[in-house]
Amino acid sequence: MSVEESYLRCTACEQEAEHVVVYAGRFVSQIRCTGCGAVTRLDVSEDYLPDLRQRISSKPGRLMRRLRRDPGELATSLPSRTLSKPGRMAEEFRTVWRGRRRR
Amino acid sequence: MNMVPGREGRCGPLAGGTGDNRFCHVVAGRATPVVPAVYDATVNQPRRPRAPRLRGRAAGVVLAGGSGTRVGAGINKAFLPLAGRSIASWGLNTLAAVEGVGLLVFVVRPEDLEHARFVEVRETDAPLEIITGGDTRQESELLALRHLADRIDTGVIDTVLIHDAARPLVSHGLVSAVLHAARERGGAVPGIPSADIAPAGPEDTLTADHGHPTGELVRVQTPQGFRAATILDAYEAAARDGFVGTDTASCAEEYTDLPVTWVRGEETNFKITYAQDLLLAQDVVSALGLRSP
Repeated sequence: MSVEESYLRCTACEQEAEHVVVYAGRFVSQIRCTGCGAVTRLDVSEDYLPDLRQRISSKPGRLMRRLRRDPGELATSLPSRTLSKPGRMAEEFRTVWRGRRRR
Repeated sequence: MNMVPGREGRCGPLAGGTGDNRFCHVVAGRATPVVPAVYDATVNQPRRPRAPRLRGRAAGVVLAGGSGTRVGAGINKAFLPLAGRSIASWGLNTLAAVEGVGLLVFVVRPEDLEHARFVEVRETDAPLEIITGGDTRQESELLALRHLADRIDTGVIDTVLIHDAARPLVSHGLVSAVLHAARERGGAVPGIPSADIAPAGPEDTLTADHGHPTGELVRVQTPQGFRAATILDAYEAAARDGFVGTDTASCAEEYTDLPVTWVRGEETNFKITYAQDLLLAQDVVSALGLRSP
């Protein structure tokens, strides 16, 4: 899961305001306007697992590309990113789970 | 200066001082491929990593300088992730893939330089020339054109395509169409005919007198393409006069005699303005199978 903040126009209050965008993997799962508090939640659970499979299968290729482009950057960031990956994945699953619609 | 050996009259010297670059003249809108002799001549030289190679005489300028410029902790919306990579990288990669686009200039705010370098290293295959822009879109465009001025003056670049980083889903075909039309006519923009526009009157009424026949109105998008030398002169003249236009075409209309033609734009080439546009873009990426590897 990652959280980004950026200035966007709000469809609810029509104001330009900082919006908090929550990502689950490569999907936007929630957007909140800090101006009016309007929240848009998305259920990405159906798309998440197929996309996760694709992310896993393409990971070696992406790592090789990074190695070719900037080996120094990869060497310095990979150990810490590897160690933090389980925690980040767990948080990602939690985000997807929380965003599920009740059926 | 590099001399590129090849067929007589096809390839020529590279001006502009960019070391390893090679270019070929563009014939009928297509870059003539560098002949194998070029590689034969350099086969014994050590290979340099990621040497930029000019494949065409058009420059793509992607503007992320003015988009999302606000005070706060948030990032510029051009660097928000869309399906696994930043919004800006989508347009950059599309422009880079178009035949005839030889180099890319990425215009960003000074505080976004780190993000821009990340985009270059991790999210694009083409080398980027990253520069910092001005306070307004027009200033950023002027700075980008000045950055290219030497190469425009020497004829290395004949056309510029100026694109908003916040329009990630521009298609390869649309960029090619704009480039082709700009080369044919001098200036070209993508537009979508808007038959559903009506002039608003006082107190929430619509005016009966339609000043503009709706058939003649188009919603203008980017990339906007122009003959490079002419648009550079236009921007310098606009800067001297203090003229500020809404987009590249408005400056061209004010300061040049170039006929600005329009090619049919695409509904999917929308600008990320509203927060929900991110969701729409995400859906379009999924629907069109554009997801990153």
